[in-house]
Amino acid sequence: MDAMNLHLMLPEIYLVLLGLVILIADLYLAPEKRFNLGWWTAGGLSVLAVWLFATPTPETVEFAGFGLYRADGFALFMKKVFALTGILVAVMSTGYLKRYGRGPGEFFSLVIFALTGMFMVASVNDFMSLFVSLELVTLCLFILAAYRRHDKLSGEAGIKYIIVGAMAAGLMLFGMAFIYGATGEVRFTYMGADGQLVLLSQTVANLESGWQMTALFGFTVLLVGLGFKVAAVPFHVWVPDVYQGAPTPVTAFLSVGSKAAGFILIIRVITLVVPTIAPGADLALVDQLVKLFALIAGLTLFYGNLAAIPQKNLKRLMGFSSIGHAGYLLLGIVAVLAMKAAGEETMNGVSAIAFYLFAYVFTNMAMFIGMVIFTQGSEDSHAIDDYAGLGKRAPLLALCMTIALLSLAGVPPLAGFFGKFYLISSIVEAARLDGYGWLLVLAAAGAVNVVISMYYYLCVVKRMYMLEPTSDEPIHLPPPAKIAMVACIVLVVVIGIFQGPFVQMATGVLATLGF
Amino acid sequence: MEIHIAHYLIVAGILFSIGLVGVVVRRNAIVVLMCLELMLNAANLVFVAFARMHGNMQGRIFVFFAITVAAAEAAVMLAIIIAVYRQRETVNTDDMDIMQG
Amino acid sequence: MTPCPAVIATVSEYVPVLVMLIFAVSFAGFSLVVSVLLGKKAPTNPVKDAAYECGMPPISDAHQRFSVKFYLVAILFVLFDIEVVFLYPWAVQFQAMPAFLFAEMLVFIGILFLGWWYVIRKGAVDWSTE
Repeated sequence: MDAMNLHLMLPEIYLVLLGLVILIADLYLAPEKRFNLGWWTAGGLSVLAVWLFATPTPETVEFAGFGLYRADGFALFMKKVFALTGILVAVMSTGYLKRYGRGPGEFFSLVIFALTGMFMVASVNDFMSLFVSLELVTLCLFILAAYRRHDKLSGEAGIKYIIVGAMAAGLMLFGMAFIYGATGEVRFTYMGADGQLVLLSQTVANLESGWQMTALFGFTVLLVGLGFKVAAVPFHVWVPDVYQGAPTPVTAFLSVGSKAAGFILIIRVITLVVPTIAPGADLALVDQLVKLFALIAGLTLFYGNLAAIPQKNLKRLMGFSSIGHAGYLLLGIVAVLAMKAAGEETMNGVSAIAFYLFAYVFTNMAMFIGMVIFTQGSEDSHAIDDYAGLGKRAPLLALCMTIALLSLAGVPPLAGFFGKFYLISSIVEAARLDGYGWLLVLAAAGAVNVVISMYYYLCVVKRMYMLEPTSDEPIHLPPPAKIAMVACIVLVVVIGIFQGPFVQMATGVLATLGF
Repeated sequence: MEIHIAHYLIVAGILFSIGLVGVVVRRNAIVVLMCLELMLNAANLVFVAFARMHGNMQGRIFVFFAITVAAAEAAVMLAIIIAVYRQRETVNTDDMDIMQG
Repeated sequence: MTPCPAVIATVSEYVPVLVMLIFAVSFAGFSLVVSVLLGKKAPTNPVKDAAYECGMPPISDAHQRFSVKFYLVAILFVLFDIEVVFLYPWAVQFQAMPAFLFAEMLVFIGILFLGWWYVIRKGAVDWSTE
């Protein structure tokens, strides 16, 4: 606990060094060679990904940085997800930036620094590291969202994103201050006076009721702040505009990386700081949180999917669809909270979220790579009508995007279906608990929303195949992006058909969630 | 007269509310930035007050980090505001409504 | 958890702050009032303010915007300035510091210098262009 254990942080140190190397290399490379920095990034991140996949899942939790940092199964799993996201973002950005023609060095180093933040987010064990690492992620993403600084849309996206993001940071900090006030601790696990490791949730559970209310206030404000980060209704207003205005690869990064980071933090706070209530004890604190999250999850599901229906712009549609997916992920959070309220420590919701995020990376990335290829790296034709007749103009591209859309909608046997399936079954499992039968309503809402989302995703597919092309211009598929897209699609199908090893990987994170 | 923890919390609560309302109501991006700083500083005040109450250092160290993060945030936000100002000669957030639907 | 003392300060501890506040406000007010009282007042009227023989009549507001390369320097100043905050707790612990913490701070400052180097190479503090 009280040791630096730098060796546990090697992935983060590697990332920081990679980011600095790219930042400095950009200063000394000839302008036409600078665009190769994208391949440097992809290469460097691939090495990291191989390294992470070769690391065995830890059997016990280890702490580094004097207790600021924890290395456990969940952290390792999410780091793998982030590394893959980073590679895909680097591949899709390279062609995009060539077309845009400005400063690749800053772009890729910002992507890497945001990834460093996400890696730290995966390993937080302290409110301090939570705040600093989440801000590292969002600050980099603010700049990336406004990266096309001569483009009005991008500037607007940047300013909207930073106002909302900074407000969320303020709320989070305020909430953390009250949790600290109630407990006197900012560490999630720490050495107690008797030399035993203590979870902060135990400390919260032992507080007098007045201080418990202070802590509840803190949790609520903190989770509202995190709600902004994961785009839960009613904290979602920024999402469609930022998704539409940001450069497409950044939108992809936002929709996967930033959302995963938010959910990791919610899970960490809930598993380590929100107390597990012993059966028969006073339920007030956790029970309130279950109700709050159930309401938010329901609203998010319906809002995201219903508001997506009338959209004309594919990027904006992906924004609303991303709100809908946040709703599904929140189902897992509700399940975990309900288990906590009933005094059980089974956390199937967490493994369902982990599996969903893993599947979501490939599905969403395939979709966004398809969009970058279709627009040829510009930001001109994101209207859904432009995709008319894509099946004739570029059959491979249309096929890949169709499979990605079907997986997002949750059609079996694709990866997206099983992600939704595990989340809904985790909530059904929670509904069996005493007094939580009403959670079945939420499970039903999840099922209904699969149908709603099917409608608007299939509308896009319909345009691709049923309508005549509006232009005969051939679509050039650059090989690296094509390979990345096809690989994603293959994985989406493989994860759907052979889930065994992937489910095992996702349930492997459960063993080390506590100490 | 003695000052209780509640007094600090009330001051912080007022500061935070002013900041939050300002972010939501004001239209000038620079004023919004100032209101955001107000929110962060209200949280810092809570941290310091509680650190004094508990008599430990954690809250104070947290404030150091919060201040640096706030500075970085302000720098990024100012830079983005300037980039937007160069495009459209205004920093009024009401004018940022190209994207609809 | 140790019981928390509810009282964490007394008003008397804040008297110096109050004194400082009164002093600052009264100094500002005093300077303003005194400059009005003691300063020479030139009689003004529109005719006297107009440009006479020498000079062009003003055609627009004199408060023109001019290129502020300055803002970049200001932003950079804020960033590099605020990093010093981490040196304070470090310096307080300097006497009883393991070598490891010393190296840690060297890494921190090293990264800061890398940022500085980047800023200079990018020409952010070079005002000679344009």
